[in-house]
Order: sequence, then C-alpha cells, then structure tokens
Amino acid sequence: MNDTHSHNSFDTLLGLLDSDRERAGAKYEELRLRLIKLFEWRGCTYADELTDVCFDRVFKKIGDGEQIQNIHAYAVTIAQFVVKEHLRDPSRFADDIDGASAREIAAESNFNDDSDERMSCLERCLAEFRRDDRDLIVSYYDTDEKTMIAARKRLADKLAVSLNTLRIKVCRLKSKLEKCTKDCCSPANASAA
Amino acid sequence: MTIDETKIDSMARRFLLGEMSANERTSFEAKFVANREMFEQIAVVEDELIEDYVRGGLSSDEHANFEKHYLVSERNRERVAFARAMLNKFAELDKPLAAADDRLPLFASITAFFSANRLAFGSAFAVLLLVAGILFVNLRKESVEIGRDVEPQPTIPPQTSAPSPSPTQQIDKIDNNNKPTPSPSNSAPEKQQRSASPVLALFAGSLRDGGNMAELRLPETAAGASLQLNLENGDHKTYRLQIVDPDGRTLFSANGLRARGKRVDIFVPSSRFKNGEFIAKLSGLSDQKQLESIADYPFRVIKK
Repeated sequence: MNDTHSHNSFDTLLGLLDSDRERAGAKYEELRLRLIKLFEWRGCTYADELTDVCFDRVFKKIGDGEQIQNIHAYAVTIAQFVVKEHLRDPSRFADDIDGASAREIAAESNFNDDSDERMSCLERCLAEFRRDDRDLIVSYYDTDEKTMIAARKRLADKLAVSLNTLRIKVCRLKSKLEKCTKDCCSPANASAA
Repeated sequence: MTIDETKIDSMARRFLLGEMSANERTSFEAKFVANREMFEQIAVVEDELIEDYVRGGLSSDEHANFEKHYLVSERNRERVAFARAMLNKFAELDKPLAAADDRLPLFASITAFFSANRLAFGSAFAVLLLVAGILFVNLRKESVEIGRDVEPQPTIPPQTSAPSPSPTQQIDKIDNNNKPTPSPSNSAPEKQQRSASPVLALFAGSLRDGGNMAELRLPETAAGASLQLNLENGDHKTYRLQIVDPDGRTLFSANGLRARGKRVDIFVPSSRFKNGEFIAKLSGLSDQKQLESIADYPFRVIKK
C-alpha cells in the first residue's frame, strides 16, 4: 500500500473513531494502547510491532473499501487473528520487526541486568513525585500479605475514597513510576519515544 | 458504562492466568478493548497479580498458571522485576501513612480519651475547678491590696507572638488533617522534605583547575546525586560504572549505561555515599563485547 492510500486509510480510521479530529487522535492512541496490552496479556513478544501489524491490516481493509461499522470490534478481531498466527509461529513476524526495534528490545532487556541502576532510577523517579502521591504509593504497598487487605481498606477510609478508587489511583501511580524508571534506565529509549 | 468491579476482577484474573475458554476470552477481549473503565480495571488486577506473585500469595495453581501464561513475555517479566524492586525499595522507606493509619485524628483522640475515663476525669475536673476557684479568690484579694500601694500605670495590651486559634479554627485544622489528600502535617514530627539532588560534573583527568579534587556536597535530605561523566567521545554502545573507595571496594555499580552525546549521566542514591574520597571508574563495552577502561574520575563526598 502506498503512502497516499495509507494516509487516506488513516484519515478514514480517525473518522470512524470520532468526527472531531483531535478527539479521534486521542481515541486512536487509546485503542493502540489497549491492543498493545492485549498482545502482552496474551503472552506475545513484540507487542508494539504486532499492534502495527494489526493496524496495517485494518488500513489495508479500509483501503480495499471495506465498510467498517464498529472499529473497536473490527480491530480486536484482527488482533485476535494476529495473536493466533504469532503464537503458532513467532518467527513469522520476524521480518516485521526492523533493526531499530530489535535494538530497543535488546536495550529493554538491560532493565533486568543491573539492580543497582534500577534501584537508583526508582529512587530518583520517586523523588520526582508529588509528596502526597509518593506517600500514598509507599503506604499502599508497604504492607505484608496477611494484613494487606485490611491495611488498604483503612487507607481508603482515611482518604475518604472507595477501595476501588484507591486501587485505580495507585495503579496509575505505579504505571507512571514504572515508565519513569524504565526511561531512566534506558535513556536512549526515552528520548526516542 | 458502569462496570461491576468484583465481576471484572474475577474475570480479569482468570483471563491473565490463561484460565478462560477460547470463546470467553474472545468476548472478554472485545469488551475491554471497547471499554476504558474495564480496561483500567484489568490493569489494576494485573498489578495485584504481579504483587501476589512477588509476595508469594498465589495458590499453587495460580502460581503455575502465572508462570505459564504471564511470564512468557519479556515485557511481563520486566514488570515483575520492577514490582519486586519497588516493593523492596518501599520496605526500606519510612511509612508516611501506614504509621498514621493507627493514629486517630487529634480531636478524636482527645474525645476518645475522655470518654473512656469519664468518671475519673469528671471527679478530677471537679477538684480542679474547686482548687482553681480558691486560688483565683486569693490572688484577686492580693492584687487589690497591692493596687492600693502603687501609682496607676497605663495599660499595655499583652504582646503575643501569634493569636490563639479560635475553636472554629481548631476544628478547621482537624478537618484539614482529615482531608482525602494525605498530608505530611498529619504526623507530629514533620518528616523532612527531600532536598534537590545535587549534580556533579566530572571530567577525565580527574583534578579541577588549581588541583582540587571535585567535591560532591550532598545534603542529608537529598535522595542522591546525579553524576555527569564527561567523555572524550561517546563511541561505545554501553558503559559500565563502578564507584570504588581507596581500598578498591565497590560501593556502587551500574551496567548498560548509554552516553548522551559525550556524557554519561547516572543517579546514585545517597545510601551509597559516605564521606571520603572515591573513584568513579567508567568502562565501555566494545563491539566485540569486551569491556575497555575509559576513564577514572576521582571525587570527594561531603555529606552535609
């Protein structure tokens, strides 16, 4: 598919997500993130690249004139096919992963290599948090298995929020901390992102 | 759309552990890709599964399924590694809110204290009132007698450093302590604020102009310091840093560092520093996977 077709297909995809282009862009990013997670949760390596494969197929279908009513349902169906193909034969997608991506993946694996670096990055990122957020995430996780549920309920009561609201808030904070730590450990990835 | 959290939690757990049938999974995936709340709820469950795994809280079946289905991808293994590091780190830190959990707010504590000892305090209060009354009458008598012997003086209002809070202000203060946002003022001994982390630029060749060794002045409250190791060139793919003391003992090391231009930046936690002289030894990984010594950067640490 040439660039013009691809561009037109992308525009059509955005139009399917929302009539407002800015909102459509945000929805596209959300959809992309969810598909990446779907691939990760299904145990696929190279989740980002498989998501690209998935969107390429969606663009192609759009370019071929396919009428799509529900883009989320359509994209997830294609993603499920891609998962099946990938799990059946992971090497099949090797050609879709370019050299740069392979290097990034190799760089990511450095994350596991050095505990010192990760700990220092983690501490640095935590220090960048707002104090109340830092206190919250530390308090939430600083418990043991036996008292965990009761401690978190008490914490939610103290903050006058439901336990689920607290869980979601902490999940977001952890995600932010994890990303910051990862970027700190692999600055090349962070600047490329 | 409002979601049933408990139901989603249970389904998400089964999904992530690979315990769903193919049909159920297909339907579940279609739902969470279309629904933001549901997607976020699964992310919460994912974090909790990882935490349970790290803490050893999964049943043997769940443990086996987690390793079989979740840990197959590199990125998921990284998430587990991160969670493990994070939990270890948090266990070392102070407990800002957890410690406060068991403390009642000030007003509630006072109320609870008095209600629990109502009879004893009632009697003590009555005696106190009686004693105070007698003292007041005696003092008043004395001041009237003294007043008769001295010249009248202009009255000067008492100077106080700060106005006493009104009862309303006191209640406001207690309310503020109970606000949902965790406040550092909850705990009586205020935890010290973190200082900004200092940055120390180091150059190969070691000594600065005038022959002075580079000095890192590290505030006690800083989380750590950033070292900027300047290079002649940034040719190596990755770098390794070791900070050693004069006896050659390694205090800190980090692998896989990357240069930004002609500089390698690294943050080192305060806990790794003590007062004294050190050498930051930088090596580079060659294309042949050989470590080559790049430069030594001596510096002195002064903890303040």
